[in-house]
Amino acid sequence: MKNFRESYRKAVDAIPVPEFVMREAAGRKQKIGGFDGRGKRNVAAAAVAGGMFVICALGGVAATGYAKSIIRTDENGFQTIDMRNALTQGGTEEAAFDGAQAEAAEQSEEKQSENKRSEEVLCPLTEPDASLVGGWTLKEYQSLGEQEILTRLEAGEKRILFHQYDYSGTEGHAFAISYAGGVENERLYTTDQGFTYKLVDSVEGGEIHAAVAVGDYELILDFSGFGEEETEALLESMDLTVYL
Amino acid sequence: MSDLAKEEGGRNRESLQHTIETYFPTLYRIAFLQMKNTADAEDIVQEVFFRYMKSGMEFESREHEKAWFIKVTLNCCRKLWRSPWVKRRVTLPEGEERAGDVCGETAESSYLKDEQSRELLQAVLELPDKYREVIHLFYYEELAVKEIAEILEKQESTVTSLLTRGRRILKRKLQEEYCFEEF
Repeated sequence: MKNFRESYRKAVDAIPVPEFVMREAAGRKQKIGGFDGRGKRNVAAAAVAGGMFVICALGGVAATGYAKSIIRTDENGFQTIDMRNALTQGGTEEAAFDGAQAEAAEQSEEKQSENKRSEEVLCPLTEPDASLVGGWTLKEYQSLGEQEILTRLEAGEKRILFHQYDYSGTEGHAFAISYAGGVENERLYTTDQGFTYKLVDSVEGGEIHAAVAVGDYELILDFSGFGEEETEALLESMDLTVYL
Repeated sequence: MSDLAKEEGGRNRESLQHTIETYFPTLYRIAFLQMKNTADAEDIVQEVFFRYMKSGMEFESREHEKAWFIKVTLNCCRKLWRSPWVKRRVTLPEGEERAGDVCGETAESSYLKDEQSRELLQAVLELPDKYREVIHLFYYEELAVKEIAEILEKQESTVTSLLTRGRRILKRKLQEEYCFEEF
């Protein structure tokens, strides 16, 4: 007869525990190898004045009861899905993300093209601090349907495209955004507020893309003409608590 | 605050990191076994350490510190159970949600080797929450009945009763293949 205590300990020890890392250093170079699958998510901890946040490397914050978004990167860009869909679509995140990618392949061109519609909307919205770039030479908001707001900010030759997606009131979602030429150099950046962005670079150069999930919202920012430090400073200046 | 943190002159980054690294695996496994998925387990552990930071707790001993962390983890699990998100969560059809899948096994070789472990873990995961808690704390964390009773804020006799019933269910599920030590 087997000993239950010994066997149970062995079974529990076999449960994969996420790797724990402190704040990811900016500029760490690594090619994206694809999602590692369950059991290898990173938990990033950032020390904040007066407190500490331990943030999942998926860009989320402590559970609030919302079907939290999962953001992953691949060689093309970002894919997002809510956790409930990740469980119900074949029970694996891979299947769920594959489905989202196929669906979004049709949508990506439309989302990246210039949308001429413009509506006035009231919703939480944050943006980078203009004083960091000496003021915006162009500031434009576009409502792309009920769930998406696109903000275009220009400071001379430099540009930020800020996509804000609102999934409140939805049962679930799956979304993907692809960048021409692909992306590389996946890394994390955690702000002093404790929110963690996933960052990637365009392979063709010149752009940094950042993604974060906050409450019911997903934010994807495309920085053109900005360096790593400038991008981090701009991300740092954005108050994401408005989305909670 | 743990003795280690005091020696280092307060709750600084290094002592916090040490505390997190010390308890993270234990708390994650407890949360995972309660919630049966990695995402909720991560969220709960995150919440626990956030509360630790905000609480400014001072502990009399390592045992006191560990008991506090375990208690808060289990309380956070219960709170999440009651949340609308968990209540509306769709479960996979019976037979498809297996301990191995939830654990995220990907290598076929390790799956074959640990089949016995997977079956055992599955049996524990299928226990009602109140039995699963005490079984884990007794058989994995190796806490005494008295210590479990303090953490769960129950009578010792209640803990003993839960252990007995949990063990009985496991024996039936595991077809009497395991011997359970007395408590």
